[in-house]
Amino acid sequence: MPAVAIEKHSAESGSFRDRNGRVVYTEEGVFRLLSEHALRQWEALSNTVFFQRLMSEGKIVETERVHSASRALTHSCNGNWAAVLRHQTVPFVSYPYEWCFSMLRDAALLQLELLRAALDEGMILKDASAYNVQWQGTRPMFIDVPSFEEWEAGEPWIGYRQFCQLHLYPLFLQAYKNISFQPWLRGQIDGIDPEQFNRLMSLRDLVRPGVFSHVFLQSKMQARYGGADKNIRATLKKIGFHKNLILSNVDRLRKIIRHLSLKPSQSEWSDYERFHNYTDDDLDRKAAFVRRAVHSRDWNLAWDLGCNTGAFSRIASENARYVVSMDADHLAVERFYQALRSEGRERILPLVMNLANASPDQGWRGLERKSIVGRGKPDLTLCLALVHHLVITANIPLPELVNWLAALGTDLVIEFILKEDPMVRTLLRNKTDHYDDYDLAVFERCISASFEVMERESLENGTRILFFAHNRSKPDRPQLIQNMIG
Amino acid sequence: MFLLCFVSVSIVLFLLAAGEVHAYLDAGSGSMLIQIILGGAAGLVVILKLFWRRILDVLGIAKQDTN
Repeated sequence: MPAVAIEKHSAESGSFRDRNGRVVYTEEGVFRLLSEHALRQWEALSNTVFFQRLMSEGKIVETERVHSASRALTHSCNGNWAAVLRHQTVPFVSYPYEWCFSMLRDAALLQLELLRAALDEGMILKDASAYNVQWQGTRPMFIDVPSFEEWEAGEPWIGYRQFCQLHLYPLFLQAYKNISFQPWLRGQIDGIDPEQFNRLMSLRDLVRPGVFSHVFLQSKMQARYGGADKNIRATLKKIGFHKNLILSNVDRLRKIIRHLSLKPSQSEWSDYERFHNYTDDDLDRKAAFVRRAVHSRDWNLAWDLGCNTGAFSRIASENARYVVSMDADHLAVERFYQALRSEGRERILPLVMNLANASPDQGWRGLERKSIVGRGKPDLTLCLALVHHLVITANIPLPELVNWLAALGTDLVIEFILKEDPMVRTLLRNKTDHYDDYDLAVFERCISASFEVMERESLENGTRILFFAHNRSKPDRPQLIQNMIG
Repeated sequence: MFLLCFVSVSIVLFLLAAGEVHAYLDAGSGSMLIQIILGGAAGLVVILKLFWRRILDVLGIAKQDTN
């Protein structure tokens, strides 16, 4: 590997809790600085069979040691670091409070698989944070390589509690109580604790798989012994806490999690494809319009806002390096994820996101978790059958919405649906119509202020209009192909 | 069965030395202890070991514990 001479680099602002390492970004990619202690663990890890195997299977992020790192790197972040690792980059970072049920479940199963594989070779995952998993499309990847440490004989599984708080309880919340876990995880950075979750469990819930042991008993134990001023960890080691205790617990957890599923529940949007009121002909025209826009040039990152079941995300992925699809309805995202997962797709990432209250900067000083726009701005955005929801249901002024899109610096494929249309009339029932800004003339003025309309098409007797618009703040792309049908 | 385990673990606590739990994350004392119960058959072995120590202690024939 050639010497990595990186002059310009920036530390990952959120990477400071682990004293044994820091993450640094440079033009060449993502690097991790290791302390002496972390280096020893890395050396043990790289000699294992499971690590190489799981990396080649794509379950652990590709990682290699950089042997000739520049002094600028090894002395950055106020340290004299013992070693430097380089990681494969994640196309778009996401967080557990943006994942649908099955994504969190697959992430949990991945953690357990890694834990088991590690234990079989004398290592263990020292924590069980759900933030250690990222995605390549629908493939979960474990990214926190320094979490792997040598297992000291007799040590209990330290990460068990965290595993429950960030994976098991949120999944139980959804599967057993039919309550979405995303707001809970977003609000509580450490997840749901056993004592809190136990208070939600009814007598009926106590017989559900996993609740009695992992919720009730754990919370009772913690309530009784949590305040004890005793070194429980050391004592368990002394009496010989056997590895089999961890392994059988892990196996039981895997079984429980694998059998969790969403309660079948209807949502108006996950049935969108069956009950939408576009004629087949109009759907085809809409798809063709989007396809023309998508193929007009190459795109790096496309966003599909209000993606629903993802039909248009698929079109976007035909010519975009990566697509991030967002919808406020977690069931729609769930369905989309399951379909993509069964196809093995790796260039579309579906996320649960309410655009009227999108993921903000979070954590210590707002540095640890990035807002959605802070993670990578799109160069193409699809806003199909969405504007009326944001303006009329969420009460966001139309010019505000267009300004936000313009500020993203993205080109736009956007659909405006007139008030006369049944889809908008449904939203206006039981509401006073004070939406004067929700008007085609206003819309076109807003769009033209920040965008240059390249193509425009009417569907459905003129009540639904599609626009493909180029962002004026972007320089003109010479490769914009002039094949627009007027 | 669970009751037996639960009671047994309570006995464990009398044998514990004082000290501070220092960990990268909060492992939770109760969460570590419960793993003995969750360990199934393997957990029983640990619990029996603890019982045995206690019995030897009570009978006064335990070796001096070097903590």
